[in-house]
Amino acid sequence: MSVKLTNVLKDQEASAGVDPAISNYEDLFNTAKQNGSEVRQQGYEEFNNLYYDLVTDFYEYGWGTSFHFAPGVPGERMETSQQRHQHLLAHRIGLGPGMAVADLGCGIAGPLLEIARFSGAKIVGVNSNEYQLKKARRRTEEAGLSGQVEFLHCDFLNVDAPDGSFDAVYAIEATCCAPDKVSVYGEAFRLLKPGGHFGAYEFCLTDRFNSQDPHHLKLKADIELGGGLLDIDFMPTVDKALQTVGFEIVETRDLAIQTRPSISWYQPLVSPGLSLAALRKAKVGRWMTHHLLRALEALRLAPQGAVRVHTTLNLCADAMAEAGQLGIFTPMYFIHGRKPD
Amino acid sequence: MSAKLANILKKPGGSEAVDPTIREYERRFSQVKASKSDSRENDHEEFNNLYYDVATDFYEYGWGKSFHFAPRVAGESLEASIRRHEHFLAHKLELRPGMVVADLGCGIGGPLLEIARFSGAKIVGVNSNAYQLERARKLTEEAQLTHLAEFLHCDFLNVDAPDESFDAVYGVEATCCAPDKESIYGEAFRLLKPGQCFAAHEWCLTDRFDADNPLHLKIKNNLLLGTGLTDLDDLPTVDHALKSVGFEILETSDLAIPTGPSIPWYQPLVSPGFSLTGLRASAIGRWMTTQSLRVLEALRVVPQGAVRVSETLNIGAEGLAEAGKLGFFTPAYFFLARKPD
Repeated sequence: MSVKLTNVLKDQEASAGVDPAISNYEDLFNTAKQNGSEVRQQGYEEFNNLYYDLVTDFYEYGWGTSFHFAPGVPGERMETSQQRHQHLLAHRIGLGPGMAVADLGCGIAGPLLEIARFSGAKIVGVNSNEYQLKKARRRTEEAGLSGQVEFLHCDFLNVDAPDGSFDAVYAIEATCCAPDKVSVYGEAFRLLKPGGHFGAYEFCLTDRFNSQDPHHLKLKADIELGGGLLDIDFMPTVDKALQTVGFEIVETRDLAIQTRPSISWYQPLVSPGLSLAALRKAKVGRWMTHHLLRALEALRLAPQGAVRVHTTLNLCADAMAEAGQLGIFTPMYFIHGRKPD
Repeated sequence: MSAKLANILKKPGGSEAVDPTIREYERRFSQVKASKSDSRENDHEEFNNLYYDVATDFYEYGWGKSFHFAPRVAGESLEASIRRHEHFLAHKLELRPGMVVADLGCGIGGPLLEIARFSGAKIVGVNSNAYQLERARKLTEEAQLTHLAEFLHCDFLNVDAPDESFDAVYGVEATCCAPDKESIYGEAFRLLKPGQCFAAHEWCLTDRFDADNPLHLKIKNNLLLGTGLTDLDDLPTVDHALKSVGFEILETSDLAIPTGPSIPWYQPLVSPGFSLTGLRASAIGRWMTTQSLRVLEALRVVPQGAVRVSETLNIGAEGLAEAGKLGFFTPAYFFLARKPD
């Protein structure tokens, strides 16, 4: 964990712009919520960029280089659980050496590099956020994987690659950033060769989510605001979107439902483990970060607005933990589709 | 890590036998070496049982539940490296729910349980050591994986199962315990259904081993003595044995050769990490273990012979580390081979 709190949001060219940017992000979020899908379609790329410009450093500081959850086996480190989750995706969609694969919404490429290493496949990371890509490229060089990994700086709904150019496409907790599922699954479908496989871990509401329950709705709204999402779908909507764009469904399953002794995916958000990295994720650690940031912001060591960004993220972390405990939300609805021959 | 040093070698009925067992093991080892006899004349099953009756507790205390090495990515924990190495086998064999798979020489079932968990395949662990199987069965119950894991108490050269009864067969650093490669690969071939695959992480001498170099020979001998083996083969011998029993080789690769920034596989044997487990495996940790055992043995807390076992295992650990540094040995020669239709 090389990221220091005093460096959070410092790499940003416009660190003076953090405060206006978080205001702008929150305004865009509210407008999109009120005005429905038209604004969502037009503004979502700008919306995602604003969000990831602001939160990437916090994610890396608090969570590491793989921005996703994972079910854990009792006694193991979160790093190990996350890698298993990455390997499982590579395994299920059958990645192998020589294959050309797209990672839609690759973040700073933590999972991408591990999947490249594990499978031997050539992977192209797609991301519209320049700041994240800069970090992804640096990490790829450090890992000695430049020969196997490339990046495309473009919207993942409009990938700069010809039809049928990939053997497989995957996404890890990223397609939730699309304005709707049909658009992003449709793009995955277009990119795949006939017979190619698409796999993803999707954010979903479960059938325990009650649309009439104000508390459920509040948790959903907090996850959306702090997670940079415009809407979270129910599982049947996701299944239907896969079929609508032409996929045959190989398997869909909520991996948050574990039948054996396990560590829940939301556990790291609740109670700290023994490491510094684990403390940062937990409620008490996030409270400490919040107060440190207040001091740093007052001393002008962190840009104005940093506390506000952190507050929004904290709200989301608390909401996710509670939604996880209530079983109304899952960040790991595994979907696996195949493009017909 | 639940194992305490004071509980080492305490298994019911076995504690009086520790000193005679380690002495008998060492006598057999010297006999095989001195007679220059074909190691095939040694009763491998008895020999392996002598070794694992006394070595198993030390393995679990010092290393964990998966008795194998792994290629390591810079910055990651040993646990994460070990898991990747296990997932890799499951991935290459394309293990899926519904398949029935044999694990030849399953130890106490650490890799077996992880591979069952990861792949959903049903795995039958084969082991001739009753004490290891007792541990394996207990760990399987604790992990609630009894529906995916079964065990057979038999010699892995003569498995108590009909011809063509498995969809896949693997061995994790275990087939090195066979007296020769043809016998064990031949048994894997017999067990497999036509068209199905066998994979293993094999212990081998590399082309940097110089049979005329006295230092190499001495290190090799220490390695063998401390790890319960009578000989090691080179890579071409392994390839040749696979083909001679009828396999078609799909892939081979020495995974110990790093492809990017890495930690050497033998590093845990050399210097301690930050965890207690890391310390136990290292040179200083092993020295501390031996010294503690001297006291415990004098106080009759651990059985007579415990120190002797610890010292013999240390000779093996040092041999492994030196052979790794000189690059003349690999614990991770991976192969994937197919039984023709």
